[in-house]
Amino acid sequence: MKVIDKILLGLSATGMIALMYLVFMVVPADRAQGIVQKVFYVHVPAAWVAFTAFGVTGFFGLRYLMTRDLRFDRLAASSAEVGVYYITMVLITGPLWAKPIWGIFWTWDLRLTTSFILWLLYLAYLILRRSVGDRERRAQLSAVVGLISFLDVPIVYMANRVRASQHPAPVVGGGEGSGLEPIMLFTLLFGLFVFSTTFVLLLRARNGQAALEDEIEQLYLQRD
Amino acid sequence: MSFWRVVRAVLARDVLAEWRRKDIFTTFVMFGLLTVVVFVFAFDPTRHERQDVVPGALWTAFFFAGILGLNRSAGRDSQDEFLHGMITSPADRGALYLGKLTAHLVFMGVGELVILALSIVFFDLDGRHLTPAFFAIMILGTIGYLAVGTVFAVVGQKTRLQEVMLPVLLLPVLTPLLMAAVEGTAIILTPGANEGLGHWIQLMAAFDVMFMTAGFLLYGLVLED
Repeated sequence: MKVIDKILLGLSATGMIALMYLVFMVVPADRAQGIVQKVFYVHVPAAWVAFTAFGVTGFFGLRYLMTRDLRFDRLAASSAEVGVYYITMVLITGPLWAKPIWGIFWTWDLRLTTSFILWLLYLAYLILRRSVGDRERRAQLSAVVGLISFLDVPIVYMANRVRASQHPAPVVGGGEGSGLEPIMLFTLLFGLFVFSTTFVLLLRARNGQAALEDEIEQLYLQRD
Repeated sequence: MSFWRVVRAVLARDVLAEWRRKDIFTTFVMFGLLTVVVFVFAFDPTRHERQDVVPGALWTAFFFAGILGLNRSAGRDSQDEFLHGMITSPADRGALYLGKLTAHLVFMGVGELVILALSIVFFDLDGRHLTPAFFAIMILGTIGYLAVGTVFAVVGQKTRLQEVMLPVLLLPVLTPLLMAAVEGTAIILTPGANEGLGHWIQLMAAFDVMFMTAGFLLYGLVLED
């Protein structure tokens, strides 16, 4: 384990515990929504990280197409896998909040639909990767599909925006009347930091594993 | 060979191959028609407004039948060694893409018109519904569908899952297009409604331009790997 991974692991582990402490012990409950609102400190950072992860997949897919270096393909694939994990967390925590607040688990609103389609897009990307045997072909086809999926995300968002949205508007950098109590904002940003270090940690771990997989595959092909 | 001659050659080859076998046309029309029939039984049109049933029925039929058509086309290209021919030829990859795209547009357009003709009878559509905007949405929707589908059909063909891969890849990417097509068609079929139609048409146009550009640039990478 490299030093950087140890640092990341330490930051993520202690950070996660500190985040839970902040969420449950320090931050006051929301006046209108009560304790249910606290899922927000997990839900929002996870969503931010997930969207970034898919951007990373698109970026490294493009890098692969430019260089034909399998290192970039592994990074793209690892980022998609970890991204799917995060977006799944978003899709689980969202309905948990929505049921008591909206009275329903799910509605086809702007952010919900976009997140759900994002989840489908990247699951399809991972299914594609598993069904191509040849290593270079897998890298090339998934880079193309990853790029097209990435281009699709803003259009999915715009299409859903044409319809009305009932998801809470962004509380950070949103319109007039948005904004958070300082301690709430701090917890949110701290959550984002912890989720980001965890993302990088998982990405690096998965990427190292993928490199070993490729190495084993090479050895297997050369065994005769 | 010049760029446009390649486009024409690919188109001519595909049209000739289809003329001899007619398998894309028959599967597309048959499956599309069956989808409309399934919709009729699933959502009894006598108990719903026209705009609540027809857009969904038509676009579901087009989208699902299109998957069969695209798979048939890619499978045939692979059997005929036409895929191999395209890979080994020195022709511009963008021209090959445009040729395949135009051929698919011809096949799907003809198939859609047949399904539409029968839908006119089933759903009692007339001049009030079949406006220029109606056809604009049909054309934009079909172009967007095939702009992505033409690329992904080849991708699917190269995986172990083959035919099954195409819908898994294609449908999530097409959700905004489907949404725009269904909503736009519904607005046209609603008596006296017009609001929001422009937004949906713009969105479809943007989708078409973006993914035709992407397909034009990426088709070569999908062909040869």
